[in-house]
Amino acid sequence: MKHFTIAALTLATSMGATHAQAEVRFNGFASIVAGMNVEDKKFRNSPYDEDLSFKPESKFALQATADLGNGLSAIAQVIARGEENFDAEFEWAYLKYEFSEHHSLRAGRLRLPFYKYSDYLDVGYAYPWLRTPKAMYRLLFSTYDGISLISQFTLGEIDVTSNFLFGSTTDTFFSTTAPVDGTLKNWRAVNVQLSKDWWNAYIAYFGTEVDIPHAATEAAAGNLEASAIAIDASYVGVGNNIKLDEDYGDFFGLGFTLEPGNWFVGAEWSTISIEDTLYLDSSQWYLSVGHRFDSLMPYITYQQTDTDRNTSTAQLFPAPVQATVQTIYDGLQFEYKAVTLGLRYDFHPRATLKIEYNMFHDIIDLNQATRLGTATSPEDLDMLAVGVDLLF
Amino acid sequence: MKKSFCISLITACLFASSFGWAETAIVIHPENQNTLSIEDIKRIFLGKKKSYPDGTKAIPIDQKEGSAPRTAFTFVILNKSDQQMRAYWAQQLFTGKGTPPKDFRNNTDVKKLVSTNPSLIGYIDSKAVDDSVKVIHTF
Repeated sequence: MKHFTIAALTLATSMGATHAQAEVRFNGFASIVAGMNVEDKKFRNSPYDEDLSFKPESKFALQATADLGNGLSAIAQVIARGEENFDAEFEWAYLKYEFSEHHSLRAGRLRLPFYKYSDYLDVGYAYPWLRTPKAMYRLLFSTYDGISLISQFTLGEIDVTSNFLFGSTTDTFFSTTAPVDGTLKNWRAVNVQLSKDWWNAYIAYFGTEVDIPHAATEAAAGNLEASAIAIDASYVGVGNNIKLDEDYGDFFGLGFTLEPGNWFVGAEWSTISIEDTLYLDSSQWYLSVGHRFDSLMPYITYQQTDTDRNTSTAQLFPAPVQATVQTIYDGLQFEYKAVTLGLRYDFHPRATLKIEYNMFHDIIDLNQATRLGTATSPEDLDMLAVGVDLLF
Repeated sequence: MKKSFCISLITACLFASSFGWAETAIVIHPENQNTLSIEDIKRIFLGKKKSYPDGTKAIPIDQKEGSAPRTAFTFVILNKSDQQMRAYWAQQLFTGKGTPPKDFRNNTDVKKLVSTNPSLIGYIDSKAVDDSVKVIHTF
């Protein structure tokens, strides 16, 4: 009886209209992952080498949610990643104001909702795989500072959630090839999700001004412009077609997930492009199928990424320089296919064990820093990882 | 043969005790005049709907995970497994979209809370139902 009174009081306090003080809730999640490449090779989309390592994909996170009452809440998530030497960083930190049953406004540090699983990219427990398919989930930055308006409504029996956002990202880019600090300015984006019982789908569009003073790109632009001017002075400024100087970049993506009965089918597709810069537009997609047998869920994923050859930028330069420009652009080719076999085992209500075997095929990465495979002799690489995802 | 029979018998008993023999009732405050479809109930418990049709606030409350009414409710009404629900709430929680319903120890606690707060909606074993709450659906 006494127990009940306490419970009732707690409920009355937390659910009533008046809040004497904020109710703070702590939750956390963690992944401990060990992996290795099966051969002695390094590949840009594998965080491992041939030695078994626990570091690159392990992480611990703690989230505090403070309900301030009347629709206002504050949320902060701190994450310590093995790849960052477990230095804790704020992944999310924002205020949320639910100003009506259907709309909420968020401001602060938020996740860029490019993909189906963007919002809980780090919460391994929340998706079937050991990791999200890397060909699709290839952008290495995931947060922005700004605002977001989330609206939820229904169309017939379909739930619709839209997210309009505005902000910017300051980060270290090209971290796998040549790290450099840069800014993605003026994000304006929309992500619309539709869902009903056993299916959901989304479509997303993002635009930003990319400003990254990438040393090798700046140097190439300078040298090529100098060569062009030497031929004809009217080519002044032609190097700006190569620099990452506030050029418009955009992302377009869509995907769906079907979960009829014990089946899981997920697919996503996207394109990424940046105008007037030393960058190759790319497209990438995956299809994943799994089936739940009680606590076991085997799955198979096919994924692929391709870059489009750029021949138009070279045309902007005088004829004698064109071949050099073309060679530089062609040197950015990055393509591969992969088949992933995995198994999820829910051995505990708050923990799941996952094992994943990745077979990368037809790798063509001509980038000097990460070179592996060529068009005439593409490379293959297998990667193995075992991990435990926890919720607490 | 013998072994698999034993296993299916155990499974059958577990199944029966969870869903077959013990009927579960979805209950609200007696003064709550709203009519709710299964879809409405589902949406309230998934945090997608936060008010009753008449505009008053709707607050779902759960029983403990692993209890017979909770297992039945998750399976029959929400059409999900416990694991799917944990994954769902992990997604909602870590994206700041919502928090799972609070859970209470037993039928008695849920019934008492529902009988004292017109915003609440819960579920209890049908045998525990009395005049203090209103049954809107049984399964």
